[in-house]
Amino acid sequence: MLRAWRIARKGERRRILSDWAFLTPQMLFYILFLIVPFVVSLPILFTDQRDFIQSNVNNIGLDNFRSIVLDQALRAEVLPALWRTVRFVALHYLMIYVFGLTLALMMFEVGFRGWMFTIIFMPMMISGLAIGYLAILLFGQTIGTVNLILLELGWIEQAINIKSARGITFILPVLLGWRYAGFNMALFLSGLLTVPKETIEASIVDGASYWQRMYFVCFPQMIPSFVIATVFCIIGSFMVFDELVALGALVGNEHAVFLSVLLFKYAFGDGRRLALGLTLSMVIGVPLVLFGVLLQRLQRRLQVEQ
Amino acid sequence: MLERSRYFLRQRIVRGGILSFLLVYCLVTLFPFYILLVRSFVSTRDSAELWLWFPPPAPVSTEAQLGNLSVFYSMDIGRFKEHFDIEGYLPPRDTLSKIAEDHSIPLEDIQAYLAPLGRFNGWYILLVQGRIWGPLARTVLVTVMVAVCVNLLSILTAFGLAGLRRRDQMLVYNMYLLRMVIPPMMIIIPQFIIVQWLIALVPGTQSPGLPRYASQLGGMMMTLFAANALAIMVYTAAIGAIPRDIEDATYLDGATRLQYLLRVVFPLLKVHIATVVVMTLPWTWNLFLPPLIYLDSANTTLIPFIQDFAGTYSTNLQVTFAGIFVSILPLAVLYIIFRRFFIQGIMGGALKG
Repeated sequence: MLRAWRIARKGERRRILSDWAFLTPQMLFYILFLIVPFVVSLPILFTDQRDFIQSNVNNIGLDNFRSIVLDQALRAEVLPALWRTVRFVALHYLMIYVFGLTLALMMFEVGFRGWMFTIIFMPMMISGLAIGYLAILLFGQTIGTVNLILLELGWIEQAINIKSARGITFILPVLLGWRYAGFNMALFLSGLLTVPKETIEASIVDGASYWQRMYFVCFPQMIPSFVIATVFCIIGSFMVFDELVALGALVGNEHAVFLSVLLFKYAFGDGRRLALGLTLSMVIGVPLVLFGVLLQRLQRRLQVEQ
Repeated sequence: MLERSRYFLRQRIVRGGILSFLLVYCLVTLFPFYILLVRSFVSTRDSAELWLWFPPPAPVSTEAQLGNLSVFYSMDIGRFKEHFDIEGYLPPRDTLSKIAEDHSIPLEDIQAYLAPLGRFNGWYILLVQGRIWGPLARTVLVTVMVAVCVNLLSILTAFGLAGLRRRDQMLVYNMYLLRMVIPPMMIIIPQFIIVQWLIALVPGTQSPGLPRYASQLGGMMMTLFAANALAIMVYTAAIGAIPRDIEDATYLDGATRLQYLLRVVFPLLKVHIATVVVMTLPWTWNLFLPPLIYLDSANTTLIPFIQDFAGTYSTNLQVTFAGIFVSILPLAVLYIIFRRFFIQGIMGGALKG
């Protein structure tokens, strides 16, 4: 930037200055709430600060990092939460294809229907908390409507319990897949629509089957859509929180304690361990951000190539 | 010839199959919303039965015990006593007919008083006893303020980025895109520390009152102004697409850059503004974590309020479901009215081609 400034002529310098006058207002908020936070939290990582308002804070070096890896009691808390989160992310990632890609391929075959899109996109309007309560409404052990229907039909012997370990593992990803179905469908569908009609027609004339056509013609051109769906899914579902609160994560349902809930408890719950929570959030968050940046760059490069 | 017609027949059957599958999927999607509405009318007592249609009005039994009424119907016993001028203690095991007898109140009056409580229990508790209007008003305030400020700031930023011609502009643009991959849970803990510092600067924020509540709301909203990657992307692309000639012509006519922004760029952005507003609306309306940590419970917004409410009335499922329905309804109505902009926003330019 400085080099650009030095070699710029007078008119161009004025232009740069006026550009920055327009950039500054939001930049101030960005610096204050997205860059300063990292600066502020960095020194806390190496202390034993437990609370936001604490005067006697000791420097304990790398102990926070060490105890995440070595401390037995902490591991008993963190590892199950990590495992639940990873399992959930994997299943939810599968769901963006089960719901989003399937619906997009179907919609592509029959042509875009506005009213269908409107309905499929509808669950995006509701809060994560409402998704959690809808889960209870549909799959709660005694009151779940789907449970009651399935019992009535005799398809299941025992009621499903959404609040149990199996309920949260297998039903919650499906519900989130349903929620984001319209969003992911739109991502994949706009990818499909960028594929030139001629190449699709050519592949039909050449006698390619449907799956051959998709695999060799459409999917390779849709890679930017796949990448961006992956970014949204992984970043979004790694920190899923609202849904879990509705399922009782903060009031003792240990099956709903994912990493995000653990972080919340360390920072804002009773018996706070602020420094530890911050350390944990950095240890988990920094690789996640790097992964996201990597995928973003990949997507940009692919789009430029096209 | 025969083979050709067979191919088209197969094609039509496949299309019909896909369409009917999509239709079924749409119905399945609407089903939870419908059940939610039905369940907000089903009394907790009957909630372990299957209800696919609104239940018939069930009058409150005169043999119902007061204690059970307060558990399953969340009846406010204080209000009940006030309404019938009853003084002193009412044992929770007393039935309604016994109370009518003891205090010489006509049984019909008690039944008339309890009729709405029995029939529309969830809605009655939520709308009459629940104090939902404060949180609702604050949610509207936050949603409107965030929509206005984020769009204004993002348009200014996108205008300053003007087509991403220089390195520094590209750098700033990438910085804002980075926002997309930072998990909210990771950043919110240090953000909270900063907001607390800022709030402490305002006098009178130690005790409950307007300064405290206003600065809490303000602090929370400011963290949301920081960046909205979607808004930046949409506006930067839109402003970049305006032909350079138009800009040069405006300057030749003697306009300043600000005038160019206000007179030329703003009118061209109308559709994009509508798109960004509707796309960010559900996100702000449904915020849960930020209001939960920044705002006092007397100062909270809709979604944390509903969660708090569900905790308070944990024995009364009807109330929870009515509350969830209320949190969905305003957005759902807006969504259906402005669906064109939602579809435009999410599909980008893909549909035109």
